[in-house]
Amino acid sequence: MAKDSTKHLTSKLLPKKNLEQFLDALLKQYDVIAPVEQNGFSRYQKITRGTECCLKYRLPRNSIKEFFLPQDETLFFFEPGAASLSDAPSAKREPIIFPVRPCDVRALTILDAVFDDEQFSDSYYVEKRRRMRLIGMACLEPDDTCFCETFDINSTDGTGCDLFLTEVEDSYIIDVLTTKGKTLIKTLADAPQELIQKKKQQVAARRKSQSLKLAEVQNFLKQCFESELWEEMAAKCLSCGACAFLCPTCHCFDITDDVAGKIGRRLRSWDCCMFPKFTLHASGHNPRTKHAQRLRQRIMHKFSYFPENKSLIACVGCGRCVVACPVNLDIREILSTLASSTHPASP
Amino acid sequence: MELENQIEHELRERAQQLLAENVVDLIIGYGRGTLPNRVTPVFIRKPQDANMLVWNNHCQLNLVSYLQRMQSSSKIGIVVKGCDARSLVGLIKEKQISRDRLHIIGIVCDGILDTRATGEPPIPYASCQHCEVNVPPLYDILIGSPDEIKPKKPSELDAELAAFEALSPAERWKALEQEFSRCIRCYACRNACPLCYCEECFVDQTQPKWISEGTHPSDIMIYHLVRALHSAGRCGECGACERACPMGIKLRLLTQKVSRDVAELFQDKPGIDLERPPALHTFSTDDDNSTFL
Repeated sequence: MAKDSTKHLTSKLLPKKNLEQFLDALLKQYDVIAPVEQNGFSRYQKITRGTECCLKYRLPRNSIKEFFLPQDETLFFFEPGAASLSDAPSAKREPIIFPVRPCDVRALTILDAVFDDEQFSDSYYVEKRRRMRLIGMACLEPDDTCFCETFDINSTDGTGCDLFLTEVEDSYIIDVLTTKGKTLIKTLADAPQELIQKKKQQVAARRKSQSLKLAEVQNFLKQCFESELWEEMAAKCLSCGACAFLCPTCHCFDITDDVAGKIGRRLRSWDCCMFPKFTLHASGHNPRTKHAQRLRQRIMHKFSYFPENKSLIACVGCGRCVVACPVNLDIREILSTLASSTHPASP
Repeated sequence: MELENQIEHELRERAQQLLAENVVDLIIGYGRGTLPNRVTPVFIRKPQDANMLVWNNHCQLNLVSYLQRMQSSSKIGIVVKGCDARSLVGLIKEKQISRDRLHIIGIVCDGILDTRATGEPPIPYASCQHCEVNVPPLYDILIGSPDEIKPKKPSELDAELAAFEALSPAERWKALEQEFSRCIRCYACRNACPLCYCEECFVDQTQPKWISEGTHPSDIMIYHLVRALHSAGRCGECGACERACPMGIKLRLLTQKVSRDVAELFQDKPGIDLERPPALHTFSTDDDNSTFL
């Protein structure tokens, strides 16, 4: 995505007590996607009132990728047997996501590299990306499961957002980063210098998240395709898709035709390399029947193949998979096991 | 020494002995997790590794779901709670694993704490609060004392489930639709369930294709309803499906409702009696026929 040339226009002040009112004002004109409280976690979904927004949890359980690459996306409709196609209707109101954390913003650049590079541009993705407004929020304190520092993500930097909020005392300082962002905060007052200074101090004093040693991992991955470690690490993996479906960067999809009576639709839906069916060939052959082969694929794709092809690591250290894995198969532990492995099996 | 630590201590000792004496060549148990209040499955093959085993009130996984993968081990030791043992009895009855290959390490369990609940003090999972199978119905070794468990009072009946039952069919459908609207089709529930062992699940079949990909509500509903009906009369009510769900869907409403129906209609509690055939695998002229159309 092209960067907006308007770099940091100004700083505005939003007292926390006015947050609901601020969201209600946005809702008059935009679709607002915000975290909503569930049973012990929050989930990004469209809200209808500012009061629904819940900021109790740092990261919602789902990532924002579903608003750019929906789990269930109609590419077009068709009539079976007839030569007629029609476009799926697009949403009328422009959407806003509030709040987006810097790890999730980085994840979007990874999706951009897949769906909007020099060679291929996916019109469905690009259109959603173009319409979306992102209101970011700084993380001054990481969660125990955060490891974004591993990927040099500055959790207080708003690059990629239209507006960026930093919590200072009982207010948010809003940095206006794009002209698109500027239209959202017309009624807000400028932030007082005193609080802007305070924000700078807080940003400088932010507590950084865990940083894992990735150089060793990537070095090891180049020579460990046949290592016995994969079997060991995957022994407890259930091969469900919780990790991949909650991951903000996992982007594999399937395309199928879905026909009901006279209406057919071409459907793009999420797929997942942890499922045995993911690699099932029409012949019946399956090159990845084992849990270990599938876990290896997921790790290799993120930390070896994707960096080779796109010069980006396809993980942002959000820790969603760490929290949600039903058997506590922790990707941080996988990475440290790989990093500390000095004797890879020969290929 | 606290009760839990006593159990853990004895568990490690017995496990070490079983491996050292070659009674088993593998023990599947719980080990320390990477997060507070979480445990993780461990697969122990050497006596000196037995001290990796842990027991505490966060041992929420049903390890029975790993048994069928362990084809290379001739004799397996497995750590089970009462509910886990019920699914193990089910697997033996359905001839998915031979009793002779197992050395069952049963643990007396007073309930597992709900990691999702935010209140203080921590409360057990709903499926544990109403559990009456604190002692595994089948074991080779039993660790812990049944006398330490407080018996449940009738007043402790599952209020949430009772409220769900009291709804009209249309309201119940609506409540399920609401729950399943969060489903992301990751199949963690299915994969965590020891009794979901079909080599090819109907949702993965492409010829014929029973349901579409994507998240159409009717496809999601079909998946959950078929899974619930397929486990009717077999489900050991361990709650592993609900605990595995990353989206916090109350799968229990469906699975335990079906279990309660089976108990009422056929006076059967699956997974308790190794000799009794599963209720829906047999037919008797005395069966309640009121549900036949």
